[in-house]
Amino acid sequence: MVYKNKKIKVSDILANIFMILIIASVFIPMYFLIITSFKSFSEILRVPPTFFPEKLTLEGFLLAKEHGGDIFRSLANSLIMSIGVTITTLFFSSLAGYAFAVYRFKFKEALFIAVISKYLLPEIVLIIPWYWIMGRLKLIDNLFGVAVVNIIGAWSIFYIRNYITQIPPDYIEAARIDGANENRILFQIIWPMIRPALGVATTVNFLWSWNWFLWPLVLLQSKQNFTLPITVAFVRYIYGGGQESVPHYGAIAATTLVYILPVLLLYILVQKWFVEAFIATGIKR
Amino acid sequence: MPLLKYKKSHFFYAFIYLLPTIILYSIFYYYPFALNIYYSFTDWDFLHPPSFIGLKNYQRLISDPLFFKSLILTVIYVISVLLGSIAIGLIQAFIINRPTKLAAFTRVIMFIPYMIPDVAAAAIWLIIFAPGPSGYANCILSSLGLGNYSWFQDPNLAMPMLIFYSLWKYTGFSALVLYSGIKAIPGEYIEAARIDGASEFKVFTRVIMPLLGPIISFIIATNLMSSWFVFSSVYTLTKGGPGTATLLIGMYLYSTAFESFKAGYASTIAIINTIFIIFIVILQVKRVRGIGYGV
Repeated sequence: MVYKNKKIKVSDILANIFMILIIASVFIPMYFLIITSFKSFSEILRVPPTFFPEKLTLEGFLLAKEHGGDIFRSLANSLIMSIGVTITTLFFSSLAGYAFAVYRFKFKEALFIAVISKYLLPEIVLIIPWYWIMGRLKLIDNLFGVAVVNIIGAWSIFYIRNYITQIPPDYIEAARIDGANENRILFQIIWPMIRPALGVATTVNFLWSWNWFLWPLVLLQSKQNFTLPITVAFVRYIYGGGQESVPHYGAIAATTLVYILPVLLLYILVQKWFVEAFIATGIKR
Repeated sequence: MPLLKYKKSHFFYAFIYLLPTIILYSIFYYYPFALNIYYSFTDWDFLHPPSFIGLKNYQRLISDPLFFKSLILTVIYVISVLLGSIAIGLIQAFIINRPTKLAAFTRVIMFIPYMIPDVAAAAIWLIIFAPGPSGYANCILSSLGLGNYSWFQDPNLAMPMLIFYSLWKYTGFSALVLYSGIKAIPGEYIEAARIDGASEFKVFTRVIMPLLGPIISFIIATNLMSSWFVFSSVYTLTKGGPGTATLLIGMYLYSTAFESFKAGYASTIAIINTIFIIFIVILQVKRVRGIGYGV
């Protein structure tokens, strides 16, 4: 009798174990986050901690709303700022990207390098002067003051320009002969052709604004103006349950959950753009 | 790159289209950058007008023990996180490069830590590594008989924990970029080396690694600046503490400017670090250019 063993390689088994470990390292923290956000405060303090919550409550959410700055207000602030920044960036970057791609003019190279070099300036070298400028413009503690420094992105200009240069100029010439003016060419002919680029640029800019922390932290002062990351950082300092030194982990978890849900949702919906976006940029703010 | 013929009306449009960019960049990037250079020569507390003090801030920087401590901590952090995430990412990239469903699923999932915001990821770690017996990590460890730790509040553990956290957070990116690099290597190269009798180890060191070189430079170039000035995670996890155990440059700069209100001195720290980092990034970008990522 011949045993025909299906060849099982040790390396395959090890690889599978490794992959399961990677997946666990993502899912287990997510699981802890979700259960903590729905536990009651007395259950959070229990020793040993419960791994399956006995009672699901909204205590964390309510406490965060009460003391840590209204999380739903922060959610609205974050959405307004991120969507606003994304729209203006796409609009202005399309204009600039188009100009760099199809026109010939003096000092174009120098100007292009000047625009792209912004990419090399870390935010940290700019915030002190920004703070002074915003003081002058009476925009301290103002959401518009946070957003305005970021309504045109160097990366977006670069990325959109690269896409437009790949379009054969005959398209543009033909449209011009037909009498279309430049605005029409850009928004009605070029925009539909560079849709993938716009998708990636939307994802990148939305996420950047969504994650943006340092500058809003410096500029925003009152709770009703906070964006979500600032609220998450501040909720750390809510203490509860008569235990002065123990932060209210339920409130932290609840706020964090509200903060990451839109991102996870986006990731599920437009995963292709996400990966492309991150590989194309790599740079986090 | 095909360019259209120059026409006068085009110059008009080019001017109009670039005007918002030029105005906003001047106001919010180049003017502030110049201001920062000016501030670095002044003594300033945000309230009174800045007073010019020449090179005093720079002299102070050289003899500031806290600055050197934060510099050393930053170097340790950057080297461990960059090298660690590339090394683990490389292993990960080879492992997920197989046609199984599990590998495809892993590729989707492993990117989540990189994608979620820093502050959120840090908050999740705070919850899991809560000090005291009611924390999840402590509970699991003490059930294995390994005792209780204060994690981010322990002066000896805070820095290793910060690095550990960052590896969890950032390795997915390196792995994914390296994975796309490995996929792009033509199979014939590897086959040819094998036919010539090269061992698997030789194939890896002599064929695959040199081809991945520019991709590794790309990862370094794109992540160097963000990890040198890492702030959001440090602020959420430790605020530079306990004491000054995790006072990295970004945190030191923030606390100098917005907690001690020494805006002039903070500008000096900012400008020195920026010049240094730009220099290194440019060196890396020169190596990357060949592969067409076009940073």
